[in-house]
Amino acid sequence: MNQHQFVKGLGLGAVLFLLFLAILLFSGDLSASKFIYVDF
Amino acid sequence: MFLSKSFWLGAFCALLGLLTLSEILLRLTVPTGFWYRQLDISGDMTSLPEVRDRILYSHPLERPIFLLGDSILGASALTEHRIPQARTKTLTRALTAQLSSRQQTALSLGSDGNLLTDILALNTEIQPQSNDHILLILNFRMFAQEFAEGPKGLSRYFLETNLPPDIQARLKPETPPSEESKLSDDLFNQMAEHWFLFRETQMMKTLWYYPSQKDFYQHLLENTVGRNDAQADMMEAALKQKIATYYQPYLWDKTALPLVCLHKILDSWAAQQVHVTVVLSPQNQNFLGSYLDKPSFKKNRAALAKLMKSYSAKGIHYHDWADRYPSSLFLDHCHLTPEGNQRYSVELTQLLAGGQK
Repeated sequence: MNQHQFVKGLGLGAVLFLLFLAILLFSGDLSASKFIYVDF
Repeated sequence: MFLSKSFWLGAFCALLGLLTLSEILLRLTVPTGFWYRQLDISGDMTSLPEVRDRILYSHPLERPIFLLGDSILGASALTEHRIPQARTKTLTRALTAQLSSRQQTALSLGSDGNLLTDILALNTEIQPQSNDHILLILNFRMFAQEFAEGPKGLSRYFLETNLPPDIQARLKPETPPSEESKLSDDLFNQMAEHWFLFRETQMMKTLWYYPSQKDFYQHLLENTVGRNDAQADMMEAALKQKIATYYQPYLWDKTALPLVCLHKILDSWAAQQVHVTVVLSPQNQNFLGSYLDKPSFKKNRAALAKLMKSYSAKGIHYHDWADRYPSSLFLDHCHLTPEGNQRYSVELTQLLAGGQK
């Protein structure tokens, strides 16, 4: 029973990791002054 | 039943294990240059550690020809003009292909909005050596009055620590940044410095959020509801308003940040006996129309040529190509069409080989 629960937990951990990765890849910029001025 | 200790232990182990595994994988693969061979991230910079990685690892076996400049090297204007596969039609890509046929490699450190202050900071990272080759593409906008002094004089503040103290002092804003802003910048810098997963994901983000996050969502919207044709005219009018100040009556000030930084850059290259080619990039006078102050345009070019002449004996060769191309090869005031980039790259390659003037 405990082993079964542990494996289910591993699945949740993997989903949380993918969620975290998506946040890193698609979130807005954290740095307030990374691009003070961008033009082209 | 999902709240049992074993369940949460499993979730914690998987999350921690995957984070550790990804960190190890990136720490092993980044120094091999793998990511730089797979992804075209030219045209943008996200952090100082990432720039260091790019210089050290993108060509681990040799010193490439360093390409320095601004958005002229990248895909932002091509993307804005909805040119399909814009990243494959940049000046950087065309130059890389041309140089590759001569068994030479190139590394572009050109980014949107780059100024001579940014290039001075980047030069610290390059640490030029006596046999290095550098191509510096100057753009008229780099010398504009609005970048002459103050916080607008640097486009990316993570480069500030690489600048000499006298230049840093001139970039200070009138009102200091808020504590929250400083904290978020410090946090970003620390994470980029020590955490590879963060550093690399920030770098990869520029593949889709390009030229900016706003543009990405605008493209998504256009793909869904279609493009408003009137928008192109509005964008051109807005761009003209924005760039008008670059070409207004103004004689470049020798004591202003752009020329002071250019001197520092050139002095450092002259001292290291680096092979340098400097080009004043083609400008589209027809696009500028009445926004262009022709007397200033002429005088500033003459002043720049005079300044550069003093470095010609030190291996730094200057070419004014501002009038070189017809209006049909431009997308706007200074960015070239894919055909224009192709021609520009051929002629720059000939120039680097010592063939064309």
